[in-house]
Amino acid sequence: MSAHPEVANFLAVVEATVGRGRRTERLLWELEDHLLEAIDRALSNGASRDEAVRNALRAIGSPEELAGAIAREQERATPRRPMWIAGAGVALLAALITNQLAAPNDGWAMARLGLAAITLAQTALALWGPAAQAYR
Amino acid sequence: MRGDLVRGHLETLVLAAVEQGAAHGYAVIEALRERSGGAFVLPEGTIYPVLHRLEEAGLLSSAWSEAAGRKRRLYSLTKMGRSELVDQRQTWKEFSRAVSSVLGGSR
Repeated sequence: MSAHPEVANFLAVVEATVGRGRRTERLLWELEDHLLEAIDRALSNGASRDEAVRNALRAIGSPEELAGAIAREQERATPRRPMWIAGAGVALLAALITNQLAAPNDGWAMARLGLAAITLAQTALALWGPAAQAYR
Repeated sequence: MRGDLVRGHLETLVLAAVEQGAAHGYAVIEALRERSGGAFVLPEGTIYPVLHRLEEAGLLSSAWSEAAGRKRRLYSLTKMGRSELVDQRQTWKEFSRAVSSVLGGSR
């Protein structure tokens, strides 16, 4: 809890605006450090406590501006992991189909079918599952 | 300066701001403001999502430290980030030269 109630209040509004989570927790630590440093510097330059807090909060921006910046950056993030898994899944499926067509009666058809089903599910999850959504 | 103009180049500007050594978000904002002669002013908190994404992209690395009794996250350029900055500098030189050629030709 910050020594300045205005800072604690700002951080609570940010958390409510952007939602809880590991990334938010880290963001809140960084925002608090940022605000306290700005306040300390202003105080050491002769500003009053109220002025220092007010200016620091004005400069850091509103919780809505922060939420907008987070959305923009998430939009730009590359969905690396799901795409990598999806690519590997497609390659494995192609190999299984090729193998099945080359030797249809070698006694491994059921094993190939099971592996293909698992691969298909993993690929679908990578492309449309929660992990893929989180990267957007 | 218009926020969208700055935002379009923020990634490269942030990489350049940490080029000389590890820095936390406050120092990055301060470097941008000072080195731009006060032209780049943006809501300071919005630098953090940019830093986080650059780290996820492998261009920055970060670690917790402690300063003034507080937790502080310091960001450094990775090898990939340094290489990206070199590329971006070259691209910017070519782009700005081309734009200047067009704009500077008006009478």
